[in-house]
Amino acid sequence: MDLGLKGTKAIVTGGSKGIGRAIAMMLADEGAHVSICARTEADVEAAVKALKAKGVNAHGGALDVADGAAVKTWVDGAAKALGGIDIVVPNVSALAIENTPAGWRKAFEVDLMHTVYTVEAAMPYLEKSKSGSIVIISSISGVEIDFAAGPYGATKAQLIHYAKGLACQLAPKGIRCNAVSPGNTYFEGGVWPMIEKNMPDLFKLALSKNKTGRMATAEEVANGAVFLASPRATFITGTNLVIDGAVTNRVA
Amino acid sequence: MELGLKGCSALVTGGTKGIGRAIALMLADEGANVSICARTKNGVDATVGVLEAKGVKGHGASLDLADADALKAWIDDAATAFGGIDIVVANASALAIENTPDNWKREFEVDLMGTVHACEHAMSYLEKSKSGSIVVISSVSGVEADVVAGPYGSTKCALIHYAKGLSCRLAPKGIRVNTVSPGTTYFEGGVWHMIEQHNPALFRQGMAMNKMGRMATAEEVANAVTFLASPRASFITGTNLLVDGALTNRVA
Repeated sequence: MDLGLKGTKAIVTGGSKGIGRAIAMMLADEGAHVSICARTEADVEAAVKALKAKGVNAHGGALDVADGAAVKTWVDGAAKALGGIDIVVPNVSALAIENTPAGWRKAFEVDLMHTVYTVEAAMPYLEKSKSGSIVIISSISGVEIDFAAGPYGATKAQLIHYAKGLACQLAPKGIRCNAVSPGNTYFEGGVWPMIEKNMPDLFKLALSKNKTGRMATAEEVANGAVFLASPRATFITGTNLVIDGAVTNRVA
Repeated sequence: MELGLKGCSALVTGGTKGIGRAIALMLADEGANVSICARTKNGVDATVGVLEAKGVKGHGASLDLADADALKAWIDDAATAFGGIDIVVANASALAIENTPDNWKREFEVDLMGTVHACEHAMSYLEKSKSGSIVVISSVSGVEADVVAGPYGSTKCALIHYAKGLSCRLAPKGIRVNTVSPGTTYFEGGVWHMIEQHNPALFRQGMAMNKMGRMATAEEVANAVTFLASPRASFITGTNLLVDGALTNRVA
């Protein structure tokens, strides 16, 4: 299936690791030019190099996404380097699980506000695109109560609401906005290998809830995100695509 | 994006018109063998010819989905013709809108039981597949109460529940089950085309609900179904993918 991504321009926050990296790489595999951001300069450089090796234009910025001004500078820089922006993937999460005021603030500033900053900064470019599209990475913790209820889950729920609101507001402009809610996603350097090592009981419990007997790969989440981002999904907007191997039980 | 559908074998109920036809043709475009069923023999023969012209195996039978024996015979025939079944798309609907006892029965027999029989009878073949997958076509009318609440809407809602239950049951076997819920879909000879001609006021009302200012094409729905049916969606099961251009307002 030709997704129609060749020559489009995409930005992905947190594109140096895990799900964000898998999305950035898959977009590049489909011929999109990609800009990523992440906190660590060396990681950004390595990811940009890997993207360029796929024969597309690539760009990156090292920044803390909680810094709205830094996000705007990166987005403007990406638009300049790539020649516009068609696709926006806010993906970064602070993974703030602990129910403390500091945890709530972190989830607010990173998960929520970085998404808002990124979308707002990219809007003038999306408005000029022929196939503007936003994919916000939420989580099944935003749709069902689990061990991450609290700052993480509540903020992820807020992102789903924000995405739906954007979809409704932007539909007349032809800009699409969807959410992707991954289940447990296992990748090298990610949170689940850490939990496996340091909290084996929690890992066993989580794995036992996966009816497929395994967790998602980052690529399996990227498949869904890249499809939604593409012109093949022209009438899909305002949806929340759960990619969880039926780990959730809700009917919706 | 290579969907991995080459050489797969798929069943599509109601594959001669509209969304079902678009799905059947798109699966064939991706290299899958496709069998369809529909009520009219001429329609079936014509569509099978179009499928075969794409260089895949085509197969079909004319039957009424309310006839469980005929439905089962078609599935067995298709499995014999193709040497197995990897994908089942339960698409046909009676489109019985008015709140009459006959329409409740027709919705029950065709939309619900047609899907149940198709899924349950194909199960022995899906269990032998390396990438077994079911996609059930529901509707936005199954997730929000609209003008077709009653036999049609509530039966479509039951289908979403059935698909979720099936996904949980089949996850350990590696068989995936998802729902696609299209919004208003406009195609030549379809229900909205008819409404446009015979009830312009209702058509205007339907258009006014579409924030994108248009209805979906059958191909836009088929894009989503084909992606979900494919091995690229290997961790997506138990989800309900809305393809509605943000027609619905619910947050989920």
